[in-house]
Amino acid sequence: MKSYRPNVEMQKRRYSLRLSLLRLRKGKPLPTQAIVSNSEPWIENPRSLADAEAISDSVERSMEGWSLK
Amino acid sequence: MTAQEAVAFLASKRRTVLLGGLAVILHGLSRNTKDFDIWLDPLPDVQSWAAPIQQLLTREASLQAQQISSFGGWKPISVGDVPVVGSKDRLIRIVGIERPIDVFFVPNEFEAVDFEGVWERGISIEHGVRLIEAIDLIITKQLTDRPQDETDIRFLTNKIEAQYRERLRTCSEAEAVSMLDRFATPEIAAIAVRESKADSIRAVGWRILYEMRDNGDPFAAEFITEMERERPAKVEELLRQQKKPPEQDQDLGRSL
Repeated sequence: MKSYRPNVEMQKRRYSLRLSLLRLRKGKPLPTQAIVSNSEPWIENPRSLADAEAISDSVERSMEGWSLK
Repeated sequence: MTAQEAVAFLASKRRTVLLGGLAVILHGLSRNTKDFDIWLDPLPDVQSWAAPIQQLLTREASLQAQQISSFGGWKPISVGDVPVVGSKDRLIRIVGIERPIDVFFVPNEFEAVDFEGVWERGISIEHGVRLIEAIDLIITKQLTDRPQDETDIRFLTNKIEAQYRERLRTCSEAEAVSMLDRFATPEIAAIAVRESKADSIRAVGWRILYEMRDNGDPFAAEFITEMERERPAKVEELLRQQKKPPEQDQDLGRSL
């Protein structure tokens, strides 16, 4: 059975991004009351090939619809 | 014929595991993808693997097989070439339907003999197709260096970390050690150290963190710095003993 450990280069990129975000915040603490997720899934608990295709197509259409012309 | 019908046909002939973007979507990430990625049972040989693909291509004249071109893109191949190309490139593409199907002989990071385990760990969906398990799916994406794969890996990692966090609190020591051996991130190793009540599990967590730090993982280094403030100074000496065989984990964990 194959084992998984994170790719170190990817981890360094993530870490670097985190440091950049911290710098952007200039040391300000995170708000204590964050807004919880307000997004809704395209399909709740997708379980079939048709569900997966429908989500992919919905994302595709949405990206096309909202792209800057 | 639709792509789903073509996949169902292949799955009726050989064991079939769904990989790639559609698999990531079924694991819960909303994103788009242009193709089906499936892994057909590659054993005992490439001829057996290719047979149902060749049947499909012969039955449906509108479908065509393609191989990856060395100049980028895809180029047509004959039905007879499917086994040779599958063996050489480790995949072929079927086009002529609304969504291309990439049929893998052996995906990245796996060998043909790994199929059995991937199939066993997979989740049944429909038409006899199984959805590849999340950890196996991450493994197929380790070698690719596309931004989308990095996003997929982050999503799947977060999902597995949440499951591990729950299970590590209640599972047996043997199960925890086996879980951490199979999948670990600095976050998971830190959870094992901070939240587990079993010495042996905490010791495995420490060993993983130190291995990751030594390999250059900045998150592991940060966790170690944080947690070293929380424990006695003698740990460095004890952790050096981690280079010794795993059966000593329990003793080490107890001393920590």
